Parts: sequence; C-alpha cells; structure tokens
Amino acid sequence: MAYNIAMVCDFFYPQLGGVEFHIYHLAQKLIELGHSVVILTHAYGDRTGVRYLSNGLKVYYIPYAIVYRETSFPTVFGSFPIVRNILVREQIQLVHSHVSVSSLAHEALLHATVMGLRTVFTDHSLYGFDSLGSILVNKLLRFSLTNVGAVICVSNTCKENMILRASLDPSHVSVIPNAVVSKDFAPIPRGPRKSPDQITIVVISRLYPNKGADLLTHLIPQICQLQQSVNFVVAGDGPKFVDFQQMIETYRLQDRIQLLGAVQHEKVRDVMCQGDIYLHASLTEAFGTVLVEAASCGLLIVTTTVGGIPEVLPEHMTVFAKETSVSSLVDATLRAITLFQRKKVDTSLFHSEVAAIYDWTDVAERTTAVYHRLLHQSITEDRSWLRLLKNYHNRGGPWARCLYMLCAVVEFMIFLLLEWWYPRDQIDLAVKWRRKQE
Amino acid sequence: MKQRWQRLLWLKQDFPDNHTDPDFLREVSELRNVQLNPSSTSSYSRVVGDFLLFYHRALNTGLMYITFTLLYYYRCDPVYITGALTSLAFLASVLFHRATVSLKSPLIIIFSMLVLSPVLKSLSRTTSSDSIWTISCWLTLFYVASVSLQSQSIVSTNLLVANVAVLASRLSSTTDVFCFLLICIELNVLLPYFERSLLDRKLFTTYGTTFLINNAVVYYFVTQFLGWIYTTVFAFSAVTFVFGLPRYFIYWQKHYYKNGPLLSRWDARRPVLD
Amino acid sequence: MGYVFWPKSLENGSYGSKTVIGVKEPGSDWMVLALLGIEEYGAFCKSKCCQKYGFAKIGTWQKDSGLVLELENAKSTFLVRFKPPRLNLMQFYSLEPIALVLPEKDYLIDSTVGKCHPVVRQTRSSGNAEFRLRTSINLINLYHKHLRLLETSVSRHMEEVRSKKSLTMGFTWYETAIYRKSRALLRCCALYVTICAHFLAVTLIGFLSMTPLKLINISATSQQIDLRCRQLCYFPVQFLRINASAALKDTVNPQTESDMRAPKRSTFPCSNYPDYIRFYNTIWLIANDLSFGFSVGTLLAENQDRIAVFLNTVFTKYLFEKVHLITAALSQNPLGIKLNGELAQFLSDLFLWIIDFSYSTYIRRITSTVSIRIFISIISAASFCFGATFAMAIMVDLISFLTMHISLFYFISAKMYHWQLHVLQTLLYLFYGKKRNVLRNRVDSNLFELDQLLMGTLFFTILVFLLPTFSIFYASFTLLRMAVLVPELLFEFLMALMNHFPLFVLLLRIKDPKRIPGGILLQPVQKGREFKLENNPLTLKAIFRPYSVLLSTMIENHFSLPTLRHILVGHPMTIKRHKMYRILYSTLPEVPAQTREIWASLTSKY
Repeated sequence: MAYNIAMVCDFFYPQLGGVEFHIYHLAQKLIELGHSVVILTHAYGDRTGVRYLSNGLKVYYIPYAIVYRETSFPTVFGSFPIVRNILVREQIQLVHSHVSVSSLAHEALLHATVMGLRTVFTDHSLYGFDSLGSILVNKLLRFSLTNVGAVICVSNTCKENMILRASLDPSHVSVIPNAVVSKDFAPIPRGPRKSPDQITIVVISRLYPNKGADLLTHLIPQICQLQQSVNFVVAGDGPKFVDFQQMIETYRLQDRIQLLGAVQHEKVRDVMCQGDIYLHASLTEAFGTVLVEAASCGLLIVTTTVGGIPEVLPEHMTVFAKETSVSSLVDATLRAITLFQRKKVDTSLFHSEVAAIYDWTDVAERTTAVYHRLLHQSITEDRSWLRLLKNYHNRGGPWARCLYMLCAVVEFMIFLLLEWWYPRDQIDLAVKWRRKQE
Repeated sequence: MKQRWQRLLWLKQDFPDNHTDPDFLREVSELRNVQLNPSSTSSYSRVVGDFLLFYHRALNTGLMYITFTLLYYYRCDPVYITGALTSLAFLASVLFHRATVSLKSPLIIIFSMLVLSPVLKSLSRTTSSDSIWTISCWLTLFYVASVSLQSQSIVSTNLLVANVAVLASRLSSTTDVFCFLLICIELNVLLPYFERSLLDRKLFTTYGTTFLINNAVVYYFVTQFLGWIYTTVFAFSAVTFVFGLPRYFIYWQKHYYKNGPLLSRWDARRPVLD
Repeated sequence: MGYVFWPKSLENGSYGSKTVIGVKEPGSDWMVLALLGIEEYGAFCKSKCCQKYGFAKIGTWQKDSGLVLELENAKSTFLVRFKPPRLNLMQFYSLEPIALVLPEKDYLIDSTVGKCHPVVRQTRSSGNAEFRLRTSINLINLYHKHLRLLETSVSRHMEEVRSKKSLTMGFTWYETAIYRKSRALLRCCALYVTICAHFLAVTLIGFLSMTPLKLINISATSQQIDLRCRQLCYFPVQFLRINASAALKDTVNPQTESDMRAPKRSTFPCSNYPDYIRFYNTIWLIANDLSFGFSVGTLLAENQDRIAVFLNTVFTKYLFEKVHLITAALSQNPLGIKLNGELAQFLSDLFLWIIDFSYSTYIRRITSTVSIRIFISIISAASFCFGATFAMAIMVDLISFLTMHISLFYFISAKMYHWQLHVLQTLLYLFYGKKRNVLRNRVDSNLFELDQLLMGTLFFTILVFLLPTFSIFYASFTLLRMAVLVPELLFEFLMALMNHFPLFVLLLRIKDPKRIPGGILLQPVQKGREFKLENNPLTLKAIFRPYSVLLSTMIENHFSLPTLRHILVGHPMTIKRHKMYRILYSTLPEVPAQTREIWASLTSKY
C-alpha cells in the first residue's frame, strides 16, 4: 500500500541539524518502501520553488517571511492557498508535520484537517511548563493538535511531556526513536595504541547554557588536574565559547584541551574518532542523537541522566552521572577513565550493536505502521466539520475555547471560498517521480 | 506470560509503539487530584521575611533622598554627618571584620571623588530640575528592580552611583557634592553589606536594631519634610507591602503555579557548580 | 556541423561557372577567398600556392544551381556572410570588447569584459568551439591579405598585372641626399628633446610623490602636474607601439613572398589599436584643454576687477563673519538645547581664537582685493599656458587653503567626539561588568573592584552629560565642512571630465563603429540556412564605464549610508584623491617607464 505523504517543517536543507536529518532520512526510507514523499518548507535565500533531492524527493521551498532563527512568520490562514494547492497537486493523503516551534508545520496541520486529510505530528524536543515561551508554544500545540490523527515522539520522556503539554490521549502517541546512518559513524579501525594510558575525552555540543556549558567549564580543569594522562577535544560554537577560552587560559591547559569551534556535520565523525570517551553534560535532552552517534563510533559515553537519555543506550556503553552537578560528573568521568585504564570495557562491538538497534529502515517501517493504522481507522471515524468544531470547543479554557472556535470557523470559510474560487479540478496534478524498477 | 515493559528504547519489546508507561498514567491521575485541591508550598513567614528584606533595601535607598533633601533644601552642613558616618563605618569594619582593612580602595574612591566634585557641581546647571528629578526617579526604579533580582550585582551598584552623580550635580558647593557622594556610598553600599554580614552571622538582635533605627530615621525625616499625612501613607503602604502582599502572592502561587514534581521533570536542570 | 565564411564583396552576381577558392588555418573554419574563372583556376593550380598558403578549392559556383560545396559534410554546413574588415582602415572583428583601459588595470573598473553577445557566450560553454570561432575570426580579419596573396600568385602566372597591385608604394621623390640628411638631423633633435622631457617628467613625478609629504595627495595642482607628466612619459612608449603595429600593417601589402607566413600566425594585427586610440585620445584632450584654457583665461583676465571685488566680499562674509557668528552662537544654548555651559564656553572660545588668529594671519591678506587680483592673473596665466584644468586645480587648492580653519575645527571636534564615544563605549562595558580584551579582540566578563566601578560610573555619568555639547559642536562643523567639500568635489569632477573624457572613442563610434568592436553578432537569415556576421560596436555604457565607476565611488565616499555611519561615530571625512584618481589613471601605467629604457628602445628603433 503506497501513500502520498507531505512532510512539513520550517527547518530543512540547506540548514543542517538533527531535525533536518531526521526528516531527510525518514523521507528517503519511506521512498524506498514505495511511498511518495514531498517536503514543504520555507524558502532559504534564493532557494525558492521546487527542487529535487536524491531519489526524487521533491521539496517545495515556499517564499515566506522569516521571523526568528529560520522560523516563518505565523499567519494562521495566510499559507492556506498555496498549501492547499500543493496538497491537491500532489494528491496527498497524509500530512506529517515536524517540530512544535515551526509555524508552517502548525498551519499545515490546520489546513490539512479542514481539507479532510489525515495528519501526523512529530516532536523532537522537551518543553517546560513555567516559562512564557513554553506556555505560548503549549497553547498553540493544544489548538493545532486538536484534530491530529497521531503523534510521534522520539522517546518515552518526550511522549509523556507531549501528553501533558497538549493534553492528548496517550494511545494516540507513539514512540519511534531517531536513528543514525551507521556507515557514516564507523569507528576508525585502530592498531596497537601508542601509549595505552593516554585517554582523550571528546565533547561535541553547541556551547549554550542549557547544554551544560557551565558544568563543562568547571569540570574540565578538575579532570585535568586529577588525571595527568587525559586530554580533551571540545568541538562546537556558541555564546559560551569565550568562557571556554578563558577557562583554558586561566588554568593554562592549552596543550591539553583542543578547542575546535564549529565543526561541519560531515567532520563530526572524524572528531569523535579522535577520542575514547564522549562526555555529555546537557541539562535537557529529548533523545540525544549525538550519544548514539558517539557510541556508534566506538566511544564510551559519560552523560547526565536528563530527559530521554537513560532510555537511549544499553548500560554497558554508558556511565551515568546521577545529578547535574560538577562533582557527580567528575565522579562519572573518573569511573569511565578507570574502566579504560583497567581495560574493563570493550568498545569494539559498540558499532555493530548500535547499528542493529537504530536503523532508519526500522524507523520508516514503524512510521508506516502509524500511517496505516490512521488511514484505516478513518473510515469509521466521524470527521464532519461539526464534529471537528466540537473538538475545538472541548479543548482549552473559557477564553481559549472561543478563540479556537473562531479560528476554526474562519478557516472553514476560507476553505469554502478557495473551493469556489479555485476549484480542485482546475489544479494540475503533478507527475510522480518514476521509480527505477529493480 | 508477557515480559514486563521496560522504559528503554534500545530494547526490542513486544509492545506496540503507542504503549504508555502505566506508572506515568498513575502519576498523571495523581497530578489531576493534586491540581483539584491546591496547596501552597511556601510558608507565610518565609515570604514575609523575603519581603521584609526587600523593604529594608528600599528604605536604604530612601536614606539617599533624605540626605539630598537635607543638603539641597535645608542647606545643612554635611561635614559633621560625613565625619560621623565615616568614622562609624571605619569602626564597624574594624570591629566586624577583625582584619586589616586594605586602605587602597577607600583612598582611591575618596580622592577620585574629591577630584570630580567640582566637575559634577556644574555638570547639569543648564538642565532643568524637572529633567534631573525624572532621570533620578527612573534610575532609582531600575536600581530597586535590579536589587530585587540580584542583591549585589555590578549593574545595581553602577545604577546607584549614576543616580548619586546625577543628584549631586544639582548641589551648589564642591563640599556638598563630595560629602553627598561619600554619605550615599556609605549608606547604600557599605550599610547593606554590613547588614547582610549581620544576617550571615545570625546576629538577629543587632540586625533588628539596625532595621529599627533605619525605620525611625526615615520616618522622622519624612514627617519633618512632608508632614504627618505622608508619613501615615508611607507607613500604611509599607505595612501592606510587608504583611498584605505575601498573602496575595501565596494565593497566586496556589492557584496559578500548579506545581508538582511531575511537571518540572522536563525543565532544563539547574547546573550545580560545586 | 561546420561553417563556411562568405565575404559580402562576392555577392551573388551573374558570374557564370566559377571555382570557389577557400582558405583555412589549423583549427578554423573555411573562409571563401575568391571565385576564379577557368583560366584563372588553371593558373592557380599551376602556381602551387595551394600547399604554401593553405588555399584550396572547396566548391563550385554554377549560374543556375548556385553554390555547390565539395566538402566532407556539405549537408550540415552553414554559410556565414560577412563584410571583410579593412585592416588598413583599422577595422576588425573581435570576440571581446576592445580594451580602452590598460589590461593590468582592468580590475579597477571590473565587469566591462564578459558582456559579449549571447551567441558568443553560448559558444564559450565549450572551450573547443570558442577556440574554433576565435581562429576563424582571426582568419576573417586577415581576409584582404590572403586575397592579395592569391591575386599575386595567380596573376603572376597569368602574366597579367591587375590594377589593384599598383598600390605598392612608389614614392621615390624624397629619396634624395639632402632630404635624408635633414631628416636624420631632425630625428636626432627630436630624440634628445624627447629624452630630456621624459627625464624632467620622471623627476617631477618622483618629487611629487615623495613619501614624507606626498604632495599629490594634498593638492589638486600637483595631482594635475603629475597626470600631465605621466602622460608625457607614456607618449614615447605608445608611439613605439603604434609604429610597431604600423610596421606590421606593411606586411599586409606583401613585397616579398618569403616573410608571408610568419607574421600571419604570430600576432593578431589589431592588438595595438587600443594604444592608438588611447594615444590620440590623450592628444585630443590636451588640445581641447588648452583651447578651453584660452577662453577661460581671457574671460578671467578681462573681468579681473569685478571678480576680485565680488570674491573679496564673499570670502570675508562667509569665511570669517558667518563662521564667527555660528561659533559664538554655539556657546549660548543654540536652538534651546541645554548644553554644558562651561564646556561650550571653552570650546567656543578655542574656536573663536583660531578664527581670529587665522583671519589676522593669512585670510585677510589673501582675500584682499589686491591679492585676489594677483591670484586671478596667476590663474589666467596658468590657464593660457597649461589649460583650463590647471586653473581649476589651482582654484581647488586655493579653496582648501582658505578654508583650512574650518577643516581644522572639523578635525578637532571629530577627534574629540570620537574619543568621547570610545570612552563611553568602554565605560558602558564596565557598566554591566564586561571588559574588552584587546589581545583576543573579544569582550570578556570581568569582576571589577568597587573603586573601579565607582570611578568608571562617575566618569560615565559626566561624559553622558557632556555628550550633547560635543555633538552639537561636531554636527555644526561637519555641516560647514560639507558645504566646503561640495564645490571642491564639483571642480574635481569637472577636472576628471576634462582630463579623461573618451572624446576620440566617441568620435570613432560616430565615424566608423567597426573600428571599436565590442563583440560579434551572428544573425540567422533565410530561415536559418545562412548566418550574417556583424560587428557589435562598443556600447556607450562600456565607453563611459570609468566615469560611472568614478561617480559611484564619489557617491559612496561622500553621500552614502556608510559615510553617514562614519560621520556618526566621528571618523574624519576627507577627499580621498588617490582613490578617486586610481580609476581615471586606468589608461596610464602605474610606474612610468625609466628614461634609460626609453633611450634604449628609441635608439634601437631608429
């Protein structure tokens, strides 16, 4: 059974990051499974219009104004005409949106629901409940996920967070983890080590406060003082970069710490392979793809236990720090170093183990199962507009409910207007990419 | 017999993808119960204590205006007050620190103020008084705000000094300017520091005495300058602030921040830099 | 697919049956040379010039059936008609626009090249095709030469001298001894005069651009002298080059058959035409300048008295009285803006003192009617002798000298304002606990001591209160300075116009556009069976490119957003004469040739 799927997200190539790779790899594997996938994103610079990526993955770069950090300007209804046109052109059955801070993703969910299509939403990150920004995002999620068919989260922690944030029915939320392209993160086959005591610890992280940059600047000098045979490689850039420079200068660790700055994505593996231990001090994490990548490169992982991290890797690959404190992390790092020094850990099998656990084909199959369930239950379910409106009415408090319903009614009206003004049968259908017959 | 579900992603388990942790469902239902019967987490007396500290700090700022009024409107001779306060400060520092005070810093401060006083004196002569009062008012507001956010930061000290400099530029003689600068720095930088150290050493009686003296001085001069009505208004609002507002705060905390350990599970953890 | 180039001079007349003779170079397409009758063709076959010069029979012309090509792939061959360029009239085809500036200075006015016609750009996509087109164009340029070769060899064998051959020069009347002697004497004199002039010019250039002073950056007059000297230095070089190309032109009229093949291959005969254009352009401009100079000088000399009186009142009023008034007003809360009294008084007194001083020392003397009259006579004399540009240059220098006090105010206030902003920025960092790390070029967070904080904040407050005063002074003097700069810039632009106007090129463009090719145009005719090769003359935009670049540089330097930003942060604003002229000097080499080299090349030539 082949579906026509539209993935919608503000973040996509040419920008590079976890979400962007997730969407790309998932789409590629879905195409391999025989589905047809198009991606909707906003225009990046002069990259506008329709582009094809490998295997006929079609990307619509819609020209939109950018507000902040590559997020498009939220217009609620403004994107309806073009999104409707694309969805009809491509004969989409199912809209799959990503990331809860992407306004394009939310708008597409709304439009697709009104057009009678099925919708899926994937979230990649955790949000709190007490800051202004997260309250706003949560309210928005509550609105746009009212009639969503299914939600996918990358870890159990993320799922539970999602259930509370958008008050969803737990059975609608599936957990499908991220994966890695294991051949891109293969360890370097190493010969006999020159000096068996010399241990290198790798840190790859954007140097932001919520990634534990402060912990790292306090922890690294302590480790360097306690263990003379340990060196560090720190890759990444961010507002805390200066703090790292200052730390190195204060403790005179120039010959023990390599501060690489921003590293291109394709170089990450080379940086990882320089080390034996990967140190992760993040204060919040939904899944921690970087941990999986590091383990795949054959590194022992030292990490905090925040968010979804404890679920991700088997115990023999990780050394956990119970608290997000410097002392706890120092303890864990020392334990890992001791493991290495006493040769009690064998990292040579990590790569194949990780490759067996996290595979994009597996992810794509599980996602397809979600699609399948969704498209088959839809026959029985009541999807009339009145029903949808009622759902909006039953969300939110006394004020929010009115706003939700107002938006929904306006959306319905715009839909009717568009159907009259630019009827479906006048929209050309796009020719699908012919697949190579094997 | 099915194996028990484990909260692990790397383990292939015989459960559907949309399986939910039963523990979590239980926690959620508990949370719903808790949210139906809200209760506060902080005790009234602690909140009052926090508000009291803030009130004290605001009183200290009031001392600055009192000094200014004395110098600007009543043309008092500031030399005696300055001498008394400075020797008091010196005495206190010797008594409580019990250490040799580094002379460098105070000397630099005093001499730089001596040098700059003549410049400050004429700085804002052509500017109208109203503009200066407005600037000073805003600076004070920012100062109080910055103090309430972080009790001792560079920004708050700088705002204070800027405010003092702006006010000092209205004074007529170089001596006045110098003395005013010195008094204000002693009252607003050294005195809070001294009071904090009292609290840290748990010398509550001494702290209470200081607090009372502080209050007495402020209210005495407010009565002198503005009359009884204003004093009553001030005192009443102070009492409301210290004892009334905490109740309101606790009410909101109960009803708005539906806290529970569950909801803060996904917040970014606070790094402990020990 | 191939092309055959067909000259338009062989229009399809009623020729009867003829043989088509073509020529080809390695890598080029065929070019038709001539249509030969039967007996001519017999002679052609006998003359054996086929192997020698690469001529060959490529087809026949029948009266009724037209052209029949006898090439390998005649079916897919297209005819391209062209009008043969006449090299002796300096007409030629070229793929790229002719270079009006020196090739090594092309980067200054970039993007002139590469504006070829789409057809050419299309062929450019494959290097091979471009090379083919290039060699073919080269061949077309040499059409007349090949034709002559063919005619010579054919006619020799037919023992019948054609009329065209009589063009070989037979001027023998001047080959007398007296003439030869006087010519040698003249040449010798000219040589020594040239060398002396060149030596003088080089010395002058060296003096004007001597490092500690760099007069050319300061004064417009020395800039003008420098330009003329450089032109003078370049004349012999250009002359030699043009003569070299003239010598090459002689080979188009072949005297002997032995030197035929060599020059045809070695150089493109038109490569020195740009030099010719530049040389005569310079000469024309100088002549033009002089003629302007006569009229301007006369005008000045005739109205000397009236101008002197007028200028005297203007200068006294605007350079002294008004400036005095403005400066005095600044100390008394101008426009109701509350300034710091003491500081404003101090600054105002300082500037007033400078005004009084400069007025009493030099402005009064220079602007007196008598001395203005003297200046005007100097200017008119310079205008007579050296041209109108010199008059303008002296004028510009005079203006900058007379407004020196305004520039001085401007620089002083800009410096103070800039310092103040800088200090404020530094103290602002201190205000929120940061410090600029000069060694690392970044802003570090830093814990300051109480005394540091206190002093910093006190200074900060004081400087904030003083900022309006400084900025008012700075703003008013910036405006004054702008008012002075505008006429100076206007004069400089006029000078640039008169010094570098592409007059000769424009006239050529009108007279014979084929002499300044700007690329080629291939047009399909007869439904794509044939093409027409035409010359694309150089566009006006390309001709005036240096001017548009100059104008945009001027606008960017004086009336743009970055300038405004510069003014706002107090960076001083100056006329960057060097930067402006770099573009216009694009027809002159960076370093003038040494006298020794000129001597060597001149003596070796003659």
